[in-house]
Amino acid sequence: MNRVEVVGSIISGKHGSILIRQKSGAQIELGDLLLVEEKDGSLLLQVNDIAYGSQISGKHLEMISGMKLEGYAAELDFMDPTLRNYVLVQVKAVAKIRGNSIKIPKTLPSFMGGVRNVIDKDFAFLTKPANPIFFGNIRSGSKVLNVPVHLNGLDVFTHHVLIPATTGRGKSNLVKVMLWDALDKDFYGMLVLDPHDEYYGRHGKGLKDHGASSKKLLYYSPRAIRGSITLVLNIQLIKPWHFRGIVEFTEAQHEAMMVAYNTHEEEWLSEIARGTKLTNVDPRTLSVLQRKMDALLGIYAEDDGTIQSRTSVFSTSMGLSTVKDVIQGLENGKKIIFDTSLFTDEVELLIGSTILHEVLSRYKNYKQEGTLDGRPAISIVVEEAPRVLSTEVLTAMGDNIYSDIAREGRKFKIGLIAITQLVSLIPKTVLANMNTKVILGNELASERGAIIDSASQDLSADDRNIASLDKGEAIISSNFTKFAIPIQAPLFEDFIKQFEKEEVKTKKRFV
Amino acid sequence: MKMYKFAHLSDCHIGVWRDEKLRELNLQAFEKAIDTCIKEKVDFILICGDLFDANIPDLYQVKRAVEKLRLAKQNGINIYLIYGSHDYSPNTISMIDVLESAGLFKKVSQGEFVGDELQLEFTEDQKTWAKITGLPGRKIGLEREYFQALDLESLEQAKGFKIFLFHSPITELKTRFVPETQGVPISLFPRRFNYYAGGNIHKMVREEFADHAVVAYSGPLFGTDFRDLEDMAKGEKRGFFIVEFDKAIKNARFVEIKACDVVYQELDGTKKTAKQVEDELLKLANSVDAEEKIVLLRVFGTLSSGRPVDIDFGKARLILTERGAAYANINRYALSTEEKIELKVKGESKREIEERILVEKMSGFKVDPSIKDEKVRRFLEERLSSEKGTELAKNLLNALKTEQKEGETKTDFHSRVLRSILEVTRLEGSE
Repeated sequence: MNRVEVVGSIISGKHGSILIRQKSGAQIELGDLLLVEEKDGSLLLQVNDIAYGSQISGKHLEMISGMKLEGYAAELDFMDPTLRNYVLVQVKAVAKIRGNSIKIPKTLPSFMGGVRNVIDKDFAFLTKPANPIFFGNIRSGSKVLNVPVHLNGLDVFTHHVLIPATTGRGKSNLVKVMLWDALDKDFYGMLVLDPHDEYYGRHGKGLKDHGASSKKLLYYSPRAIRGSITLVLNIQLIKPWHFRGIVEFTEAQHEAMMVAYNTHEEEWLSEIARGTKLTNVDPRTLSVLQRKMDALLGIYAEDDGTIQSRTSVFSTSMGLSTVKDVIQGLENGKKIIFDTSLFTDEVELLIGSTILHEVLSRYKNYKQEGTLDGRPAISIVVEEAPRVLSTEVLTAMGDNIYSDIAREGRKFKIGLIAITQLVSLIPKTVLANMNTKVILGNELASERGAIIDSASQDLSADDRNIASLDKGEAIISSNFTKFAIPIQAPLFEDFIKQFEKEEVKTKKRFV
Repeated sequence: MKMYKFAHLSDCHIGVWRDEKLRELNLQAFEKAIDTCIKEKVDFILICGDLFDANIPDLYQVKRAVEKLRLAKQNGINIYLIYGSHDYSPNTISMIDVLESAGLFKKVSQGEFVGDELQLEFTEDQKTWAKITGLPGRKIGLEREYFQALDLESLEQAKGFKIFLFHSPITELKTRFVPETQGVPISLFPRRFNYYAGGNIHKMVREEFADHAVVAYSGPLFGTDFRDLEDMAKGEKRGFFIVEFDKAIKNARFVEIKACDVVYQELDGTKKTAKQVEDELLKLANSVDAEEKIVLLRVFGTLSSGRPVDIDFGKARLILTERGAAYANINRYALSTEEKIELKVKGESKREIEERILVEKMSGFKVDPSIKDEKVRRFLEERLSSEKGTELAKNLLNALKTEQKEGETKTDFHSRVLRSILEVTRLEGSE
């Protein structure tokens, strides 16, 4: 069937739930985008349910199928079968299109009006915005159109992005595609805390294969490969408040940490490791702190007072410029990956916290100075976001830098890209601040409910749609889109083929 | 097995100071270092970049340095070096090249590009059979491209006692003052060398990585700016390494070179009047232990009334000189007053203030929208946006600060400045 042919006709329903009879031979899928052409433009519809319809009563249908099955009348058939039996399709109007502008539809399409499948040119209104970031191509059901979907990266990333999905639905692939597209764009820097070491491409294709990677990508890892930077933080860079909401301390311990910092400044951790007495601090509290820091950071003092580190990530001699380098890189629009695959959750989040406290503080200063406008936005990718944003964590340990950013980051051009399987654990107040959701497939009804409840568009009828999303299929629900856009994120390995170019060889000179 | 010894020096920056006394102290530090090498009977000396502070340094300084290098040679000590970021120029010959031609030392950064790969050659010391190679330093961290292109395999597979010379801050070891773009991560260095002799970082560092056994920076022998001298006053030692080895490193010890003691004192002027600060400053100048020492005073804070210009810093300096100070400097860049509009940019040194102003200005850089040619736009964006623009402006400013040398004709001076500018802007000749 020609795709622009009529595939159904509007027969009943109400705003938000319109019923269409499918034309025989047509195959309408869940999630399909259909179009009704009207005098004053066209109406974009999206399929959210499909059912059988028949002019024959149920009892008669049961009898006819029984006769055929039991061999009483094998050749028995319906008279005008395509007329009497059909498929009913439930759709909702998602956008009213007039030329290059779209609006939220407020009227019903013409009764008995013919609907057709969408074609590429129906999406002429989807123009490339400023600061574009590619998410995927428009998808109608499982059919992918040649219409790329770009959103304004500055808007989207500073207003936080949530990527909810269960395992194997393509969230890492989607993030990789986004990061690839963003890599050489200077208008924002990104810090990726990568607990699975899957973005750089240590063992296969990854961001390292981007043509701009040598200039725009920094890869910090405790496991060296050529070009990587050793992920090491000097303990002088860690301040007591970096632990806030990440590691549990009693009030007495926290106060002791502050006393140590006020007394010894950057040497506070070393002095705690040495067990140096602190004014008004109970020696037992100090002793517990000493053990805690040893367990967490691997920092301890030798008999002669020399500070040693059991781990390679915290050091007394190296990594003095790590925080500054990362911030400089972010401010230069670089994309920075931290391979945290060898660390515990606490260590990973503490490293992120150390960087993000400085980033937020610096960007607050820029705002105060009036120089924030010229700076790139900064985005932080956090996997398993409930570790820092769940109700349980926030109740037990209070706010942390990640929740601070979720709450107030956008005022300072800093946003989170939170990835999670369990949206329901994140409080509604935090979800409400995540203005873009890239929804991938999810088989858990309770999780779908939480996603739908917090979406920027009304997705109450899209439960089945979300449940049926295959790998790489997604719905973008955002304050920056007029409707929830169904997309297909390309497979990363296929996507990057278009960028592979023969390198022009130039004669190089060595002095 | 016979034990050998080598010395590892770097960042001598001969000729760096404008002040005659400091310039002389810097040179004396170099002379003391070479004398120590001769006394210690080292087998060879490594100089890891920036022997001189400029590609064409002051000739009197060169003469004195050559005398010492020749003395070392006469004592059977070979000298191996690499260019640093200061004593190399892509457009003109450097004093290093002249002295190498005279046989005073050998540059060990030898090799060539084969396709995209940079293949380095080893220089073998005939006395100890140590294999030495390395990469030179370049301005604004351009040497990183060399590291990225290095054919590591051939270097790593070579047998013997191997030393790698470099003049770059290692990202993992660099201080907070070195920009992010100028670091080279250790993962770009060839593995399994016996010793990595570094220059560029103005601090003594000795560190070990999993695949890179001994990585060391000797730091400068004296210092090149007041921050270096302040660090000395705060306890940072200046000197070089003497390393003993046979098949492997047996011992690496730091030999301190003390050209002059440095005294550093701060005076907080916050909530004080200009008169009060002047009184305290003069009192400090009269009480500080100044004899035969470099005295650095830093006055900072915001005056409640009066202006910094009302304070007689000259008088304080005179007192210090009369009391026998080898050199006196009073840093007042971080001193302001409530009486006038606050300075938008603050810093502890002129260099730092300049840098911050440039960062401030360049952060808002946008290509003129009237330029339509995409190629030109890209070129400008690549050169002038963000940190690169700041670096370029900084280097351009430094190039323009160059002074005419004694005996240098105006034409020679002009063409030297022009060459520096072309080099900095990379508009001609170089990469």
